[in-house]
Amino acid sequence: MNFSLQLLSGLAVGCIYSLVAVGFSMVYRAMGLVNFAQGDLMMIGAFIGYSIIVNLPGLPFWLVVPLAAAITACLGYAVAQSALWPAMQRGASQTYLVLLTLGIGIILSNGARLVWGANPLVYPIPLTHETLRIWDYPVPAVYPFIALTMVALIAGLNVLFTRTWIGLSLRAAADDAQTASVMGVNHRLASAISFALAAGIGAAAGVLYAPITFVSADMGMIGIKAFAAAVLGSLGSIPGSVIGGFVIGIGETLGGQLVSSEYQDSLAFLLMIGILLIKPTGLMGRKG
Amino acid sequence: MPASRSESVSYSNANASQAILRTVDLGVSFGGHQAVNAVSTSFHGGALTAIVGPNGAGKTTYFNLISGQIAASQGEVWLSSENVTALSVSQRARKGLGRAFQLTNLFPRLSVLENIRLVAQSMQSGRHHHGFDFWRIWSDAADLIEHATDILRSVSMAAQLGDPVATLSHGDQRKLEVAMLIAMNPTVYMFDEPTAGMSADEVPVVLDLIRDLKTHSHKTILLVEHKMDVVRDLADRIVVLHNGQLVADGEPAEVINSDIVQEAYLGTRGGARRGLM
Repeated sequence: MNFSLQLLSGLAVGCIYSLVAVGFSMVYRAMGLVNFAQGDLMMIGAFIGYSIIVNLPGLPFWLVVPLAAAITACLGYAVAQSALWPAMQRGASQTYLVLLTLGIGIILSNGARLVWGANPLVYPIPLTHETLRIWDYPVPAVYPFIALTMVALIAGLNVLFTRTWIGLSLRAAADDAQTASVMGVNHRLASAISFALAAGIGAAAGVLYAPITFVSADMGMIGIKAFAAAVLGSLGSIPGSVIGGFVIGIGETLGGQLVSSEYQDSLAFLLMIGILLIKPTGLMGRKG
Repeated sequence: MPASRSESVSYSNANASQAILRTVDLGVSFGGHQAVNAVSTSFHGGALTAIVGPNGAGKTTYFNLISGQIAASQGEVWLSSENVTALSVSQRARKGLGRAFQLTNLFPRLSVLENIRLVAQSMQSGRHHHGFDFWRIWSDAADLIEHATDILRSVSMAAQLGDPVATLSHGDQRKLEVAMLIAMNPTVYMFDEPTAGMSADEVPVVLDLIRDLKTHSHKTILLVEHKMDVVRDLADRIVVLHNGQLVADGEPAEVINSDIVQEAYLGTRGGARRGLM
């Protein structure tokens, strides 16, 4: 029974990693860029969620998620347009761009400390403390909420990419930016929208994760594990990122139970290394 | 190479004011090397102009300058009566410059129909903001889907609508590229070696498509091509580039027979003329 509960916990954490990993893959596909600020955008989203809850106490939690995501997406759009695109246009190397995103992440983290303080914050909502009874064991009530929101977000992304005008433009620009430009697609706009969407999805993950932990400026460190999940699934593949997130989430939770929770982080990366040794292209990657 | 622009066959600057596309002193240099050197010429509607020259003559670079892939160091590009020199690639495309590349440039992860749809939607303006409409779903645009399907029928690819582009043969990918240009409905078609890498039986299919465009669309068509039989077959006019300079410009027979072209293209005079023809 304990194993089943750990599995549920791993699935919930896996949902969070998956969403942040999807953001990594979207930006990588659209801009050819590993965005190490993705975890910090998730953290900012969680803090914005906190501010919304505090300032609009009557607002249902299910509305806090899209609101925080939308505000963070606007921030992401501004970051892409003002910092990343100009650097890419000037032919910045990958090393420079990675350092740039790391720098943006550090600025976001310090900015969060400045605005919300250095002490960890807890969402002042009942959902933070409520539990459900599954097999007579207490399970955080936010778990089903995390799962449902994750499914809705991935389904929404699928509709966006396959059924809408903007989705087709984004897929085309991610496929071949030069050809897309020649065919009239504004690559700069496509990149900025992809970055904004990734930031918004990260923020949603942050708001969903907050009730099972607390919100702090260091929360962005989750981004490293989410990056591992994206690489494990094959960076650039959205289905791969989802699968990678679950593998890391479930693997570290169950592994932590079997060995010790102290070694959870190491176990997550050992899992990534082991799988990439067997399949270097990632779970969903193909050779060539 | 004694050729200079003063020796060249003069053709292009007559009626420049009626030109669909004009380049004025257009040039670019890379690290001291003048890849394209002050090329001034104009292109008119209803005519196919072949741009020829030896390897490294600057043909593709000249194309890149016109379509905006490379920023010009000097000169201007005019489309109809508008100076488009400062515009981005996508802005020039929406103004009417339709470009196909030397290597096939398609979206391999999208289906055949999606490739055409993408072009059709990105050419939409106004509230759709060039295909970036969050609230617009494709099933609402039956007219555009029908239009895209019609274009695929016209290039005999209707049966491959749903196929991923990555699975198409090289010849079919070239056909699809022409179909995408047709979907753009540009003012100027720019083909850069459209038959490169194609098998002998695939070449006539693409040439027929270009010939159809020339006959029925009355658009301005530019063609960079190495194969002189293709040039003789399709071109109404030939522009010759050599070392980045425009060295000849005129009717095909006149240009091919000129001494300046014999020397620029073949490095010989007189005796090699038969080989070029």
